[in-house]
Amino acid sequence: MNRASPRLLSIGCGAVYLFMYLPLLVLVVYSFTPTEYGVAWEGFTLKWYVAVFNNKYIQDALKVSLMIAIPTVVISTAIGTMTAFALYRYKFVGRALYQGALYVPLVMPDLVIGISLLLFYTSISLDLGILTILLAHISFSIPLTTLVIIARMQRIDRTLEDAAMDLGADEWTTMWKVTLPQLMPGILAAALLTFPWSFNDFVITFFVSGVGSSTLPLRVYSMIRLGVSPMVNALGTMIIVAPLIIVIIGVYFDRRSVS
Amino acid sequence: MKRISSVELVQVTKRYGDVVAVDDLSLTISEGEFFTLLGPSGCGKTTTLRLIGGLEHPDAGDVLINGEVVTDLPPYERNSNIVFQNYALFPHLTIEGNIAFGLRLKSRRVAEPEVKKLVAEALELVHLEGFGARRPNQLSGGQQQRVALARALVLRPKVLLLDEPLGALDRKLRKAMQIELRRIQHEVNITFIYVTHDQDEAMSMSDRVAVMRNGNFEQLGTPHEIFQTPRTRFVADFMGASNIFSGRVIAVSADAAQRASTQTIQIETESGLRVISRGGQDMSSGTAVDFSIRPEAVQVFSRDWDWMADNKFDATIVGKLYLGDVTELEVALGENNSITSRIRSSIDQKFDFKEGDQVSVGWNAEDCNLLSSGSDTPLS
Repeated sequence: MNRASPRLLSIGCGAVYLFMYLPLLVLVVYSFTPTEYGVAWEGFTLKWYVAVFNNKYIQDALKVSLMIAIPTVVISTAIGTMTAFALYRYKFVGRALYQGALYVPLVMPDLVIGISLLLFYTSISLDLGILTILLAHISFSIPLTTLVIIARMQRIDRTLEDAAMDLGADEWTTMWKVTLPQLMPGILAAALLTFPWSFNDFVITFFVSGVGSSTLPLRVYSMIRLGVSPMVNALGTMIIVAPLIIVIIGVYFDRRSVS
Repeated sequence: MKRISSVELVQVTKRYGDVVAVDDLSLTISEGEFFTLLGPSGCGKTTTLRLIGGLEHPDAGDVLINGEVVTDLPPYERNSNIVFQNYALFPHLTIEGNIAFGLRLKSRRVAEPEVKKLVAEALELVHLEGFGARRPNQLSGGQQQRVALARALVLRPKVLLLDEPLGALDRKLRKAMQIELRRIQHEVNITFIYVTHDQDEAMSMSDRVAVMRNGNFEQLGTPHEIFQTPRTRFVADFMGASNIFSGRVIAVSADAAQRASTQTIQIETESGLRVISRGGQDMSSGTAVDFSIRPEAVQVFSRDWDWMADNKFDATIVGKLYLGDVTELEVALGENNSITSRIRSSIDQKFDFKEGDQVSVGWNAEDCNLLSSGSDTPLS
């Protein structure tokens, strides 16, 4: 055996993680220094964070983003659950076609989806705004939620439903007391994936947004056109840290419920 | 014993596409009976169970429980419960939650203190007191099996349907659970319909056994009948009577001392072995017959040993298999015939049988069990 290989392996791993996280670290570090332009450390400050909280444009954009992301999560998860049931549980003509058609948006370039949606909205004379973004986000999130939920469904033991019915539960009760609780991890996973999927989207949103409906990514983009303000670093840091906190809380409660 | 029909199948047929899983099956099971459906995989035994439980709907025929036609009732309106092969415990509920599942349904309207009491009783019945708060995945296979049993029994069904419930357990635990199941059945006194492919399980627990093949019954009777007098080649083979011969009656003795219903006959097998047997009065010279001999009935002694048997041959040991308390000997009779004998290992030790030993082998006329031939196709 080559005795150097464990060391090489750890160096390789380290390099990969460094490559992934160093840029983020740089962003976090520069969010705490007062330098307005360039990249030099000139002491510690929180003024960029204060600026983010006082910036009306960013607040508005965040509001728009949440107004889109939250309904997107709820609606696309609900539709995804129903679609998963239809595709996985029932046999009907064209099922394979429907399932195949579900994968297409996942591999289609965002640019194509964005342009086609824009053309579509224009052709039916729908004014661009929050509604058009919301519809776009729901439509590109449904394939994701459906696939995640189907994956979970494949792992559920069908005899659990037989057992519930045998013990006296009708179809509706079986659905609520057995099938959905079993499916819940998949539904939650789909929702958790959809939120950033919608919140982070730039390309498609760019095409279908209108005046006064800038989401956070669009707002950030327009801000850095005038140079990268450290305010963007501060905003970026918050966007990195907020989900981390949620994940940590989630893991904590998950551990507690097991023990 | 009361003879009220608990479960009745009337000419039930179930198809899956071109495959007939259950073929025009009729059956009556009495109240409090331990009835076993025995057969190899794919014989339709599980489908029969699911038809009774309502998880499958028959293409033809009727299912009756307690004299009422339930053919079109969904499973949740039937007075039967199933113990599933994989237990099907709800992983998101505790043991207590699993057992109380049926009781807590709004349709049953059981008050919560009553639920608690019934669950405690059910846990006691299956010796799992104190396990109520655990989750199914924290229990061993045997314990999960007993939870599944408690969950079904707590609803006091008229019929309990068990689908190979011991299949996933190890040998020792399976033996213990067989005794346990029998005890529970006596205690709750409800009809058990048990599906298995394990003949030992069927023999040790059942009041009656139906051997199934291709969606219908090959033979139905008490364990003793099925074991000692299999009626067809298939049943004989399935019950482990590995000595099965085909032949023709060559002589009938008009022995007046015999009972009127039987006579002594002589059969020549296709491979030229001449055997004395008992046969029905309808048999005459030339009748084609198949017969089986259980390995335990075949005796093997050394050539110089003085003993008597209706059928006794000089033979050579060609194979020996030690099975613990018994030893299986493969014995060649002449060039074309061989027969399997199962003797007690103590006898084997006494004679110190070895492969190649010249021995004498024999069995009595009563041990030749005649099979119904003709209708039955030979096993592949």
